[in-house]
Amino acid sequence: MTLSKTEQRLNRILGLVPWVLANPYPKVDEVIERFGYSGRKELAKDLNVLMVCGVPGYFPDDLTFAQIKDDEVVLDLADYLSRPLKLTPSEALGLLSAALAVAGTSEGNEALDRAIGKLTNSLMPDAEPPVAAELPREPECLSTLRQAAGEGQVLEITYVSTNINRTTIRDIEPISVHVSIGNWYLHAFCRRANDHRTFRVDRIRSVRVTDQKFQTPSEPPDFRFKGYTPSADAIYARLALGRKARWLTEYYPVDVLEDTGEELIVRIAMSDARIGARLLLRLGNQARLVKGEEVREETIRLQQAILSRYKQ
Amino acid sequence: MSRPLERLINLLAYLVDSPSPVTSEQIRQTIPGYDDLSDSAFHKKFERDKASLRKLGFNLTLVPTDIWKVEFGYVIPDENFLSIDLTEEERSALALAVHMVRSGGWPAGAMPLLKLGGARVADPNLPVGYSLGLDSDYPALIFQAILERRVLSFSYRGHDRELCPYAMRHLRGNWYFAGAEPGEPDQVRTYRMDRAEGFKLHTKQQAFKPPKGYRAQDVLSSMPWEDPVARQALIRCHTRLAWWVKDRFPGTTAVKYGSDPDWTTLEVPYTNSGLLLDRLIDLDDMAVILEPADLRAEMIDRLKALVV
Repeated sequence: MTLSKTEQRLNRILGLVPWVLANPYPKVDEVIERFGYSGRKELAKDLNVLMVCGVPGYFPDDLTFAQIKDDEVVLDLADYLSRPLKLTPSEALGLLSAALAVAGTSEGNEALDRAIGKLTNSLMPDAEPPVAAELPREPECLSTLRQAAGEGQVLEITYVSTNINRTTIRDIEPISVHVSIGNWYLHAFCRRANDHRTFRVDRIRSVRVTDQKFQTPSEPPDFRFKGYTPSADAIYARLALGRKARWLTEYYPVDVLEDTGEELIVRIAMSDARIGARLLLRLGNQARLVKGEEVREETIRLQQAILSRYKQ
Repeated sequence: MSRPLERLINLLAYLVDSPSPVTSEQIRQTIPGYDDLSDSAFHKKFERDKASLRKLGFNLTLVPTDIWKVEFGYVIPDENFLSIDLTEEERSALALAVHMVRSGGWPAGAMPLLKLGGARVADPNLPVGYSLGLDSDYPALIFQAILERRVLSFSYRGHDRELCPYAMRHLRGNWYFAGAEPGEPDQVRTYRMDRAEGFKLHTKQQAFKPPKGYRAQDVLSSMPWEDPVARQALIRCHTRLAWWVKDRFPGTTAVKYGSDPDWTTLEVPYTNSGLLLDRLIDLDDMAVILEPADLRAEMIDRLKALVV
């Protein structure tokens, strides 16, 4: 649910007022940082609004007093807003699931566990948390990647490409590490490709910290997952998926062309025919290749190669 | 002309401060910004303001102003307010967690944290982040049904369902929720959120009680596709790729076998044979199952089953 600008301002004021009333005369800088104001001017704007608000009558004694004075925030006659507002289900879920997910990682600590307990108790007294959130196991190289991204150290990674027999060694400038759809990804500037690249962390064979430095971005990292977007030389295939293979549409970028009830006909794009071949071999009798000569040839080659290992 | 923000704060102040329910007519005459409007303009604006407050968490409730129940007025019941007492340390821990979990690229819980008194984020440029798939409205809707114990209707793969939802769980990049059909509290079923659509909350609150001791960890606690007992497979794979198998199957150990240094034999624990086969196919012809015989046969069957 998106909030309008007015609603966002009100939400922040409704958090600010009870906190200042409970912690009187806070320093302006602390208030700015704690409530995410861009600066003094933006904070003063909200305080000015409070100055013309209050309880009916609207005489000076009914209106809130809110000002910045000697570098402190002064607030009075705002008792009507002294209690913090309860969390909406959406807010409670955002907070609680974030806390539960992080509690299971190396960032978890006792304070977070206590916060989870208090949050749960305020939502459903005397009940178990009605929500759980787990992240995939942290990869071993996580702390190296994280430190290098924070300190601007260039890393040399050995990366396994689509062809399992080929590894590439690349100098990269790590920007961020994130979890999306159950996997760990590394976003970096790849000096070899001279462009930004997203790497799957479980395909990184090894990481070496080099003595080269790079300028870390000043902006906070953008963790949006950028899935595969077919390039001009992408390979396409048409597959017929049986009932047990329909999950494919949830994980791969496919266009559904037809649903016969029995089968789902999809068009799938890939960067390498081998991806399609492995997919078909994984699906076995749950899928058929309808169209795509490159994928057909690669599938037959791979099928024969693996089967020949079983003849020995 | 009063600005919307002032009008909303004044409206809240009036309702919180008033000892008795306030009628819409009283609101109209009292709050600057409503008093100079026509009937229809007032109602339109008042409805919009109520919707804004509802989005933030205020539920304005209509109650009779006296025992004859002729006139109704608005109140903000006590349950609209939060009673939680977090220490500074706990708030900071929450702030960090919220900062790491992203929704559509940006912190998902930053706004609600303000309600709890805000917090300083130690390192706003922290290069680690998690996505919990909270971009859609569905998880919040399911959570509301769980909190308020309301029956949930939805369509699951083309079938209409009614469910008393007990708990939800984010696992392997997906949200799952579990509960039972009304009247069958012990027949717990699990659903994957992204396969469901058309969610509707029934109006009645406290419509059911979850079984005692039911926990969110019980959602999908036994994976239907996983064998509860781990088995061991003997896999021969190219030495260069042994790390790949070890990474994906914790507990894998190398055993001595044969004399060719290019090939290594691994003892691999697994609970799901399908998953093991999938992962081995990713290794192309660089891996082969030696034992157990049934797993080996399963792989051969799978490979032969495909007709291209």
